[in-house]
This record gives sequence, structure tokens and C-alpha cells, in this order.
Amino acid sequence: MREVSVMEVCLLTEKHFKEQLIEFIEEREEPFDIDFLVKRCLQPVSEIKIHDVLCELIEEGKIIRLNDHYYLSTRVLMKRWLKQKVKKIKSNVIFDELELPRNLMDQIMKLLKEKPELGYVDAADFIRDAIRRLLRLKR
Amino acid sequence: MPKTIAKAEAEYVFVKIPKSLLDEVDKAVGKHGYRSRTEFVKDAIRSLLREYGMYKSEKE
Repeated sequence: MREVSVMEVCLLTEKHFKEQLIEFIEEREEPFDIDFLVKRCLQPVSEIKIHDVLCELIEEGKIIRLNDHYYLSTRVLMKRWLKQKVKKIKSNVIFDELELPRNLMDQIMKLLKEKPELGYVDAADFIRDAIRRLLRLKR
Repeated sequence: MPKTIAKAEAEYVFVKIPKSLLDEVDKAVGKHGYRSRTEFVKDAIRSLLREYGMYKSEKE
């Protein structure tokens, strides 16, 4: 059996540490600093080591530096941005009501239930798609 | 309350559609021989249901 060199063990441990760190911080809603991460590590890890890994993660685009102390995961930041964006889009859309036979709505609901793979979110989503398709056809 | 009215109300549901999309429908309505936007939307729904093999006419 091949002997694992000290260098390889170090690289392996480092890779493992980085994976664990990103797993811990990528869904974290609150900004975090190095001091917080040092306290959360089960084994003693130096501030410098955490700082180095955070710098790598910044370069990889997985986290961003908010100021001199605090960091936040890009995923959380994107989620917040998208939430605001969707909210804004929704509030800007003006709706009109349309009266449709219940029989047709029942058939749509049945389709959504039987074929979720079509990807319609709800009946209104299906109706919008149907309208757009017919409009395209009539052009 | 007369039963027929109650029945008629139960047979229809209101759906919210973006106004911008219905404006496009309004433009197409007269041009393609539909009597109203509702008729156009019903036709659109039936066509797509048919495409997915799910449409059953009211007579069935």
C-alpha cells in the first residue's frame, strides 16, 4: 500500500476544511467574521488559515467581503436580491380578471396534477402559456 | 335564491391575467373573428389541453 506523504495529508485536510467551511457559511443568512468562524470550529484553527480560505472563496465567487470585517455567501446575497426583484416585478404587474368555465379549470388542474414534468407552477401559469402560444400562432 | 343563478355562479371561476397580455388578446380578437377576449382565451386553453392530450369537450 502506498504511503501518504505529509504534504498530501496537509492538502487533503485543507481541502476538507474548505469544503466544511463553505458548507457552514453558504446558507448562513447573517454576515459573519473570522472571529465568529474561529469560535465555531470544533478543532483549533488559526485566524490566518480561515482568512486564507475566505480569500480563496472570494476569488471563486462563493462569498463576498461586505467591509473590513464581515463576509456573506454569494448564494444568500443572490437569494435576497432575487426575492426583492420578484416582489418588485409582481407589484408592477396590473391584472385583469377573466371569467372562465369551471369545467376548463378542472381540466387544467387535472393536467397539472398528472403531468408535473410540464413545469407549470399553477393554473394561471398554464393559461398565460396557452394565450401566448395562440397569439404566436395567429401572428 | 333561484337555483339556476346559484348553479350558473358555480360553473364559472375568475382568473387573474396580466393586463398587458390581455391587451394583446384584445388586438387579436377582432382580427381573427373571436367575439370576445374570453372566447379567445378559452380557445387557447382548449388548444393547449388538446396538445397535451387532456381536452374533453363539454358535451362528453
